[in-house]
Amino acid sequence: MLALAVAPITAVDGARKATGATYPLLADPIHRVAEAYGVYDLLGDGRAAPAAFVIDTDGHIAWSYVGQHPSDRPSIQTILEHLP
Amino acid sequence: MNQATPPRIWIVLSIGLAAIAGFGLLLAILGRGVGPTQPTFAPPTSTPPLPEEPHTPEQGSVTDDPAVASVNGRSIRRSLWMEAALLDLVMSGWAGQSAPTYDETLQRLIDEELVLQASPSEQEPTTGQIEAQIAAIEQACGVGDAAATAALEAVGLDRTALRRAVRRSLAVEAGLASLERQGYNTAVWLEKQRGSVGVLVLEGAATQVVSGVQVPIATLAVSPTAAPGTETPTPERPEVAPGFTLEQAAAATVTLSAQLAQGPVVLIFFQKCG
Repeated sequence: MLALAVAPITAVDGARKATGATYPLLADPIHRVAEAYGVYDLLGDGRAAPAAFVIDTDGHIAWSYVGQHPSDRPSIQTILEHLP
Repeated sequence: MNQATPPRIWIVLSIGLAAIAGFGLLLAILGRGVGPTQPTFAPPTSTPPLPEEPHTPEQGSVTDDPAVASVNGRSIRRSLWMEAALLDLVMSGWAGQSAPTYDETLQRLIDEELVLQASPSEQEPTTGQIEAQIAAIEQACGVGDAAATAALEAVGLDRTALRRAVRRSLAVEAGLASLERQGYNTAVWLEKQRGSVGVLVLEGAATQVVSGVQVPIATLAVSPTAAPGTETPTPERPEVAPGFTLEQAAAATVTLSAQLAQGPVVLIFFQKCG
């Protein structure tokens, strides 16, 4: 799993330390990736909307979910159900 | 949830223009975290053969600078295309990203032309605005003036070319903002424009020079004709995951393709850090 935020690397590193996350936390400070995935600033906050994408090994997006508000995100179970 | 190809403008603009514009409306694609500790820029490394030296429109005859595309009768000349491609190459290097293909650059120019024609700038960007934007780009990429100039000169360009591109991108940004104020979904609008007969990529004129020999670029599609009033489905999300290389907290960079080599990837966008 990869987690990504529209934020500078320093902030993302702070999140890693705060959460103890063992999966990669990535910085997208100029929101290029967020825009490429169509989730940047959807909530008008200058950030990526909460979203999840399941990408298969061929590089195709097998499933995606884009939240309509900050706390709208799929459960882990839902994501697991859509793994290829 | 929509799963579909993102509007080309967003992908293509993000590669090139987001680098040029820096932020905001014009976007990109392949982001990499650029923090204050980022070392000097990565100069262009292995790249496809560079096109021939761009001709400025004032030099040489029209036959020396053929049109490579036409947008509602207005030509996009090879010199503009080549200069834009070289700038994309340089700026992608600054951001540590793969450079867009020549076709991607051309498609971006076409989209820009559509925007510029629909919403011509009421006011030209000032020199101050252009220089401020360049400074912002350099700062975001951790590139100093001297290094930026050296990178441009390495591909036969100069800061004048960069200023031209930034001026254009500011005008396009203003045009996009104008369209949005008028209530248009710019992605939908662009897809509609693309479907018109007024957008053509001229096969044969679109070539690149390899070792002095003109090589036809792989088939460039002529925009299809859309029936009047036909609504073209406009996807908003990609079907194929856009690749990226991003800086990782407390570790080296992460590239999507390398992750996919190990198995499927779940990509989570989270909002807040801490």
